[in-house]
Amino acid sequence: MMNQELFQIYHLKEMSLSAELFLSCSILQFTFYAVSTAYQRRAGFIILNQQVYYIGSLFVILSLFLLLNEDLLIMNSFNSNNFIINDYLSFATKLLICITSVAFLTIINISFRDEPIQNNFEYVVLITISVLGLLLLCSANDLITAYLAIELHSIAFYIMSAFKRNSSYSIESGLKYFIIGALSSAFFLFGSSIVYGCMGSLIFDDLRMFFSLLSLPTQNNLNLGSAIIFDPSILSCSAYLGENFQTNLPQPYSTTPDNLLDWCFFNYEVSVLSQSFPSSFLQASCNEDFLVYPIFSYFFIDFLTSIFILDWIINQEFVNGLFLIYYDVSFIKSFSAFEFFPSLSNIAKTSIESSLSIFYQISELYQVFNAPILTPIDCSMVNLDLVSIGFFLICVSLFIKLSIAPFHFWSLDVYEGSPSTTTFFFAVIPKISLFVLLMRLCYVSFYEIFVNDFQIYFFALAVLSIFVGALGGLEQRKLKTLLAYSSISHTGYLLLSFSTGNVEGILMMFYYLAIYMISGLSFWAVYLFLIQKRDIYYNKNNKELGDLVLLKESNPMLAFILAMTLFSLAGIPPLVGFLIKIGVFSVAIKSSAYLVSVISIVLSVISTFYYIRLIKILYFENTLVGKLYVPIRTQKALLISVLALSLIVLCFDPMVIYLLFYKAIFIAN
Amino acid sequence: MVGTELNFYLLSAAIVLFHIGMLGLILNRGNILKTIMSLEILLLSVNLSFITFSLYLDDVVGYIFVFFILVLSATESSVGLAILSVFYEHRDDIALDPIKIQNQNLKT
Repeated sequence: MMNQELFQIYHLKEMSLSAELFLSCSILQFTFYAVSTAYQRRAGFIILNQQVYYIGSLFVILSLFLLLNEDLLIMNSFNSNNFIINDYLSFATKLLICITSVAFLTIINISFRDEPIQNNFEYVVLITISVLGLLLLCSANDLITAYLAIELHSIAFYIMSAFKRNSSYSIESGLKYFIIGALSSAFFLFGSSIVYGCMGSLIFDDLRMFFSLLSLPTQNNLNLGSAIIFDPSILSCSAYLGENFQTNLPQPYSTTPDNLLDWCFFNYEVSVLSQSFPSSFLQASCNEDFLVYPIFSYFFIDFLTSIFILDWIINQEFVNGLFLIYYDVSFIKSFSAFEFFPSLSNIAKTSIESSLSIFYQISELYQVFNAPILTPIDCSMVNLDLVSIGFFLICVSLFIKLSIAPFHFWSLDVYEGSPSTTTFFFAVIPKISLFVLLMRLCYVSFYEIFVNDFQIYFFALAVLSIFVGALGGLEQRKLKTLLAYSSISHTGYLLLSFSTGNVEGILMMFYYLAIYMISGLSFWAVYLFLIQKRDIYYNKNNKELGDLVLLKESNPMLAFILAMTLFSLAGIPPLVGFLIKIGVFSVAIKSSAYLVSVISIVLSVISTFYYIRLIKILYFENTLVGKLYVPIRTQKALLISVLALSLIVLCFDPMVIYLLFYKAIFIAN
Repeated sequence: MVGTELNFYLLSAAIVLFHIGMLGLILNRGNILKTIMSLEILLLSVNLSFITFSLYLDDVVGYIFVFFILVLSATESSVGLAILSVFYEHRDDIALDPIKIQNQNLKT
């Protein structure tokens, strides 16, 4: 009986992070298994090549099923100490990451079949570890968790980009990526330390609550900035307030200290309230020398909470401190008419009434004395400029990881130098979870700072990265560097629709991400399956644009699919790239960012040039000398055709991805 | 009063250390080992600032984060040194400048 209940409590559906736990345990066991078989003399140094890719994709598929099994409604209530959030946004993005990484593993498994045999099971371990890091990053609700997840996947990335040990390009790119990645994580940590010092918490929900409290009077627009100063020392000596205090009070509530203490030590369901009351918030804004405790009228909505606050103030015995109590005069007056709460009146009418009337008296008194008009931001001792510096540093770190324009220089060399499969992984998969983190930061926790100060800079960075991606790619001859520039410009479009600041923009950003991942999968699959005919051991990985001249002779369907993918990346109508590009521009116009949208439309026309030039090389060159390619196998053809077909089908029926993300964006509100 | 001054000095020491690390990263043209050392300085200065803030706020989250950062900086520098040793096998040198020259060739 007892066991059954326990089993019901720890039901698999309601277990937070079940997919990630499964994935991490299976990675550990798989590493143990592979090391113990592949490097043992007794086992005969078994070559683990294809099997490990199957096992890795099996892990990701099984964790995908665990993800689908999750019961989000119940899991939302267990917040696991606020480190992890299980909302629909994390669910949808995790689903997308799992699906694309399964497709990625399948593609590289098939493409490795034609390469000379090498014993590299570590590559699969690294890929699954980085997928684990990306999944954890999607559900991070804390700057600590976000940092750990970023480090988990980026350390795996450093090793993956330096994986080809006999190529010096690969090792150089790994070294560069390591240095830049460590620099960006140092920025992230410094920014989060500043945020921690100013706000006293690292949890996104706490930060959001902090800002919402700061901005509360401006939202309500009722009696702006009226405040009273409540000094606890009046409990010991009432002389501070002068004689007015005593004379103004009605007779039943005389102001002897004993009476005041009576209502102050009023313990009425305080234990329940003390859990919901954010004491960390109050501690965050206190200083050792000068105690100023801002208390907002927000708390007085819940009447019992106000009583609890008074109780808390008295219990702490901060005799030296001052309490700034924000209130709404009409609000307190309405409370004085106590008939609105008949249920309370039976319990402790006199105590509550006396407390309220004393509050009212104090407030009246201070209005007579011309109390200073203070806004909450003035009183809360929070240096918002410093917080915005911390937020700026965190954003810089994420921009370095995303390779947005002024911070993009590493990505060209790293994309060019790394092994092709690693470049494939960098280009396609990790952007989505970084954007999820950016969205949680900008639209949940630091929304005030983002909207007031940072939005225009985000627009500027988006336009700049579209600019760099459009003009930098014009003179590139290497296919991989061209793709790096293309990914920079696509990140610019993503950032453009991200920074519009409305719900349609964020929905469009996720839609763009999904389509970008699918078209990226299609392009890189074609890229990996192009194998030159001449010599299988002389397999030059750095393909130039001119190498594709005779592709239409040796494999016309492959050339057609490549051209279709390029048309989709450029945004030509019958393909899905058109739909997402026009969506981004229409969202930018709707949010009345006219200049930005005009500039980015012009730049997108420029960036179409290099896609079209590739198509011209594919189809309209009359050369007879060039490189020929081996015909591809059935599985490769199947994969490529499915991916290319999805580009057409999604254009005519885009509802699948809309439905996936349409619930996810509501945390932005 | 004393606590506040101590916090001020600790915090300014952390910021100065962060700038030293950043300058070491920017100005260093010779050696990759120095780059890794300045990355370590960056992370340790962040640790110092976290410790200072959690002393100031009397909160335990900062201390927890410091332990995480210590472990991860050790991991990161070990990965960097591993890549560096492989790099040394290739060219018998750990200078930074030849990388740039190679890349100029690689781009054109």
